[in-house]
Amino acid sequence: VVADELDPTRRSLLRGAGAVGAALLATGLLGCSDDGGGDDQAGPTTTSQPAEDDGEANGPDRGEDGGEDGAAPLAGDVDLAVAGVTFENTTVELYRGLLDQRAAELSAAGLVPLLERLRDHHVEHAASLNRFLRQQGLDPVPSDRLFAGVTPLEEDELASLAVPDLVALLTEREDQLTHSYVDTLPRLTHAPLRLLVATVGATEARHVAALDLEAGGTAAYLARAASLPGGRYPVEQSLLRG
Amino acid sequence: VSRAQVDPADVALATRMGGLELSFVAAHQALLDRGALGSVESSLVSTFASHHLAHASAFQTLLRRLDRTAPPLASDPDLDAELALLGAAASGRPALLALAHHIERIAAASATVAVERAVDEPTIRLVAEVAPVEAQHVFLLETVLDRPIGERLADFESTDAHRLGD
Repeated sequence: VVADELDPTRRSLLRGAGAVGAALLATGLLGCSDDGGGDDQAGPTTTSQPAEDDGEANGPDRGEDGGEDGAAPLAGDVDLAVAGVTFENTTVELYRGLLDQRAAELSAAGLVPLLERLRDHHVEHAASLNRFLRQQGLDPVPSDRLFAGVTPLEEDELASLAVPDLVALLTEREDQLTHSYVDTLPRLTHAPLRLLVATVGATEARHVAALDLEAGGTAAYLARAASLPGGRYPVEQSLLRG
Repeated sequence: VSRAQVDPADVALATRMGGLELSFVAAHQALLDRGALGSVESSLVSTFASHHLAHASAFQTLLRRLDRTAPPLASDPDLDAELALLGAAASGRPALLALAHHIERIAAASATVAVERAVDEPTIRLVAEVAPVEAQHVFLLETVLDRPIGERLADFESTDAHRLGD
């Protein structure tokens, strides 16, 4: 059974707990990383079987919320969490490559602190999604497992692009990630995982805005804002639709 | 959406979210009417208000699909009163921008928590599409307010300002 095959009634039965405050749930999922910032080198995650709820799906703060309302994630949830880690790993690699190869120019442009922060967020996002997988009794996705649908930049491309083009490239990637998480959320049946992915996706959207401001100031953000259909984030560039 | 399949929790959530969106529109408009913001700041707040109005319209449309008997959305009276009180106390550009930021933090946190609480696909999809836009609003205002980068770019979107209740 995968998420998309669930009928609405079944989905209703699987929704996560609402009795405990969302912030508490978020704390359970988003607590301090203990997995070395996504540097796990364990074997590939097995996602062919439905995930079993080991009773720790929400971490130590699950508390009284772990009863009948705390439905176990399904295989589709696990697969999407795995995909999310590979999105993040791929993006970390892009930032690392740029920061390694173009350090001098990025430093001269005053961009290094921002880009390092965004890179670190992606490391933390991968770690949090991996924590979810471990809570399901699954192996984490190693940091060198990348998303197959994105072709990494060649070294000469990385070396030749002008700094504004690099910023545009990163903006496009962050926008693509935001599209992808918006696209992921309705496919997730496990409510606490949805909350985790929503907090990650909203942070990617902040990244887009931060890079817009770097590229073209408030006018660049306003141009993007005016293009949002119905003031809502679209999904056309979702990596799930590639 | 078949009415037989509608989860009452989604009807309540769409009603709540739509009402909050209308409150955000009214609060931003009142803030703009003060005439104390610069042109760029006014453009931002005006854009945010237009987004919230569009969101309210989307929640109204969703609500009609979920429950044809649902009354039209109305702004949240408690939030309206709170924001009016804060608006009356706010004097000058920084205080008004701080109020706009307060509004957007409520909006972003509520939308993010709504993603977790929504039950069926159409409701989850709508709140999922709204949440990142609200997060960008918060970021823009924190930038205008010159907040430190650690506040503007935390690892994860905060949910502590949500107004969806327990």
